[in-house]
Amino acid sequence: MGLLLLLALGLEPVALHNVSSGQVERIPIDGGITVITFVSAVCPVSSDYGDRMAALYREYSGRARFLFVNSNHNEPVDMVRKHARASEYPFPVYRDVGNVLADRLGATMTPQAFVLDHAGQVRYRGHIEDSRNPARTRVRGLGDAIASLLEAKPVTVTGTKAFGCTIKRLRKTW
Amino acid sequence: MVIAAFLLLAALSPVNESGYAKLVAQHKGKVVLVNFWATYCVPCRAEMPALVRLEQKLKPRGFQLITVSADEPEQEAAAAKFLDVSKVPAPHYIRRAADDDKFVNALDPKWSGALPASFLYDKTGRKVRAFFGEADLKAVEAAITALLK
Repeated sequence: MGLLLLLALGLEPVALHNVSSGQVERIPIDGGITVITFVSAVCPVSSDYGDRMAALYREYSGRARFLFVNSNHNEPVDMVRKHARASEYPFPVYRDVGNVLADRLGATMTPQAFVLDHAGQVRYRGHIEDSRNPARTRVRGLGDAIASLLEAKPVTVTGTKAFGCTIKRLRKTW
Repeated sequence: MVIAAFLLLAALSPVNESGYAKLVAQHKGKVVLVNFWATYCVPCRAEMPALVRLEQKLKPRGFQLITVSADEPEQEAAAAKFLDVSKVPAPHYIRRAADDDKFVNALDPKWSGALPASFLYDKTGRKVRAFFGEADLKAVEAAITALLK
C-alpha cells in the first residue's frame, strides 16, 4: 500500500499559488517531513480547526514543511486571501488551481491532513483532531503522526476519518 | 408563541453505529435512501428539496428517505429548524457516535466522511450503492426506481 501511494504521488514538486504573495511556487514534497492540510474559506468545520492548525504550525514548522492548501474551485483567490487574513493564520495558504494536488493525494474533503515522510511517502491521512469542538477531542491524529515521524517512531494510526466538507473539484474532461 | 414554535420543531433521534444498523433493519420491505447532511454543508442544503420531492413521488411505491444530520450538539436546534422549514419528512436522526472514525467506516470503508453522502438500501436492507458528494439526482432516482420494480 505504501509503495502504491509513493508511486501514485510521485516526487515531482507541486506548483501552488501563494494567495498572500500572488506567486506560483514550486514546492518539493520530499527531503523532509511535509504536512499538507486541505482547507476551505467557507467550510465551518475547516475554520473551526484554525487555532489548532496554527498551534501545530507554530510547534512544528521549524522541523516540518507545512502546506495549507485550498483546492475548492469555487473559492476564488480573493476569498481565500480575505479568509486567511481575517483568521489571522500565521501560515501562508495556497490555491491548488485545478485541484492537481488534491487529485495526486486523493484528498476528498476539508479539513483533511496528509503527512509525508522524507521520501514523499504518505504516512498519515485523516483528521486534524477527532472533534470540531476542542473540548471533546480524544484523538489528535495529525499531531501524533507528526510527532512520531519527527522522533523516528512508527506512526501507529495511519488513517482516520471525520465529518467535513467535500472538496469542490473542477470538472475535467479527457 | 415562541414556546409553541420550539415544540413544533422536528425531533432528531441520536444514532451511533449499532443504532444505524437497527434503523436500516427496521425499514426492511422498503427501498431506503439514507442521506447524511449538515447545516454547514451548502450542497447538502441545496439538494434537500429535490430529495423531499423524490420521497413524495416514490413513497407510494415503497420508498423511504431517512436523514442523518452530522451536526454537533451545538447545531442541533439549527438542524431541526432547517428540517422544519424545508418540510423534510421524518424520520430524522443526528449522529452521536462515540468515535466518528468507526462510525464512518462502519457505514462504508470507502467513505471519507465528506458531506453530502447518501446510501441506498434495497428491500432486504442490503446496501447497494453509495453517493459521495453532490449527487446526480437523476442517477439517484434511477437507482431507486430500479429497486422498486
